[in-house]
Amino acid sequence: MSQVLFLAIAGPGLVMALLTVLSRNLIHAALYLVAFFFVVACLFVMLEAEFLAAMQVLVYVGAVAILLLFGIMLTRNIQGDETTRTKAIVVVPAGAIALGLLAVLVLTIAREPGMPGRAAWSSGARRPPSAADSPTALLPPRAPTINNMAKTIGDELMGRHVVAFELAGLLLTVAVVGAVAISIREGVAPPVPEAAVPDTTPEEAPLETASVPT
Amino acid sequence: MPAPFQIADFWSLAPEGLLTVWGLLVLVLDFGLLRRLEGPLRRNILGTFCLVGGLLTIALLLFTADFAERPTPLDEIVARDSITWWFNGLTALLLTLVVVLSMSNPFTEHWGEYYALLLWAAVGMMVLIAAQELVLLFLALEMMTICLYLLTAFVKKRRRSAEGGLKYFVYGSVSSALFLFGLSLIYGLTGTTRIEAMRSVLMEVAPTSGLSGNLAGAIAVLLMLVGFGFKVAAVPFHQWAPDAYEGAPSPITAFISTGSKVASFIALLRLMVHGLAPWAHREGSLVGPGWVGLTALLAAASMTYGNFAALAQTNLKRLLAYSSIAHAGYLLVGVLAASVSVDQGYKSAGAVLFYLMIYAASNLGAFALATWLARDRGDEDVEGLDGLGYRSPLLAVCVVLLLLSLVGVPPLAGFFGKLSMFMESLNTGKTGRLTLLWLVALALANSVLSAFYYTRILKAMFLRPPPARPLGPPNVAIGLPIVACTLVLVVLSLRPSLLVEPMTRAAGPLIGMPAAEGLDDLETTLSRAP
Repeated sequence: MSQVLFLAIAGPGLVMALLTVLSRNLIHAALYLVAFFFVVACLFVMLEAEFLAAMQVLVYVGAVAILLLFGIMLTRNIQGDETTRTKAIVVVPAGAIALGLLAVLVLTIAREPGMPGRAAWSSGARRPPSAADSPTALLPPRAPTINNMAKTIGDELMGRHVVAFELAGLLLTVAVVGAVAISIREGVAPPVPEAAVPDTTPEEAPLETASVPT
Repeated sequence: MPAPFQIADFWSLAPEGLLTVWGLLVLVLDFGLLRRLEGPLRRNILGTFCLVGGLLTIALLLFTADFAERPTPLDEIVARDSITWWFNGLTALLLTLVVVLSMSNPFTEHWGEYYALLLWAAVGMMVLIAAQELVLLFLALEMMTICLYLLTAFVKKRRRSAEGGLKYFVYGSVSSALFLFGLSLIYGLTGTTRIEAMRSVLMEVAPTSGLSGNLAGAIAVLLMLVGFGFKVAAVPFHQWAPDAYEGAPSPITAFISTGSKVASFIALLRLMVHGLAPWAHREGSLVGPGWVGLTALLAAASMTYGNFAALAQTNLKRLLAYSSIAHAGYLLVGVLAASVSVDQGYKSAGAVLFYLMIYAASNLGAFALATWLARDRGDEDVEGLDGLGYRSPLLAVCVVLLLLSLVGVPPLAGFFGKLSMFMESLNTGKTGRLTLLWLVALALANSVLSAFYYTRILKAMFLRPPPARPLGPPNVAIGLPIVACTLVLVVLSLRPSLLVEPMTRAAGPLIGMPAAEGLDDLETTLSRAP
């Protein structure tokens, strides 16, 4: 039963992911991505992580999606043009490599591997036990975790993962500061003389598209 | 659930915390008090402020040098060992020199953001050096590289800067995604994200069989090697390096090629050599299933390709980029030697750590030279160095020492670094001796090859007349890093054991074996030479 359900959720998810990558119109791609985020939320529900599912919907389907759409609308080129089209000579080997990787992954995971001498990882409903997890890092038992997920997640984030949590906060700060610094136009922010210089860089050599040791 | 940590436990993160706060202060200062000032003055004030921050961090590290305190639960997540201490110190030093170097050249207007991102990149490196847990390790890696992507694209006037930044970003994000996938497979297989626990789980299950019969593990290892290969710029994941190095402002290039490479190598040592030690190779053979065989291929390809490609370069930064690819190859030889032997491995790992220090010092000095070129000529062609030996003899001699150390010419520290690394590789015992012998022979041949292109720089400086547009006189911002790096090198050339010994001692726990009492110092290593 749960397998059928999983396929019913994951199948459309796969389609959405493919459409995100393949669609030429950026707005369409963004909308497919939002649909994919929603599928991920469904997968969280299947894993009995309802709180995470709610967060996924609120943060990704809600906030991130809107941010993404605004970002696209504020940039000029929405429709793919000649430069975004790729030639067959590039697409074919790239596709072959990607499909090869997929084949390897599918074969590997379909064989239900685990560590040699242990049960396969897909057969266990719980995390594999690890004798080495120290007493300070004891995992909370399963049932209370599910029934009280917000609290557990809060405890974990403020407990074991507090350093990572703070670092993620700093990472977001970095992203904001950096994005502003990169996207602001040079010579506009500080007071400039009247005939402000536009982007005067025509005399530069054409950009290389590949790095060839010359 | 009781709070697992006390506030006092976080004392070990004090240097990182200081730099984080300092970055915010820089921004506040820039947007508040200094907004109306002219560019160069603002740059110098902010630079000095960051310099104070860097020096304070070093002071704080000296102050927290005591690791013998009671163990805290946080130690399982953020290491507090002597490797962390030494390499946090190195990162802080590199940061200080890069900050000084940035004051030489007006390549941007946004000094507040520039210095803040620089400080935060150093925070990422420090956390990466200390990370004992996969979630933190990945976040620190991202923190470091995202800051560096942004800084690479910081020069708006040069289109190459944007191009380099974009290439760095695209390659980097793909390799990060693959790396994360690898980490998640490891988590699935071992059930833990802590490196120490991972090691004991694997030790329990498969202590000697390597990766044989474990396809999922093999894929995880492969994906993780892609991630690390990108971060240390090993062939075939190096394509971003020459373009990013060339496009980035020179101080940032210096930071990418030293700080980020050093931090990634420490993470590689912790995760692969320590955590995944049971997966290194099958007992008795080195080439079979296991990550050591793959690393040997990466090492051989990086050394050879890096050196051959460097021969043809005319741009100093591209030349140094390819040479740093080659150095990643040498270091990988040391890494795999460290994981081959159980009882001698800590010496190899110590040699790798020592070499990392030497490499960082030499390379930073070399990139200071590139900054000088960029300041006065706008390009970084080697021709621009013509006649430098007569115009500023002192700095030219310093550069000679730095470059000869990168080649590995005998009396210099780079020679001791290479010597101890390759010697320890040959001393690891029976397993895989032949493979290591081949790799070391290849590395030696490559070192000879590298002398050719480094000598070209020397030839330009001393044997050619000055060009029509020669370099201007150096200022403190350029002279200080070159002289400081040279001083470090000279001291280490005279007394290599100053650093070899602490490094070997520090590497003991990394290999999972306490360092034995009465370590051999370099003199004994030398006397053991065949």
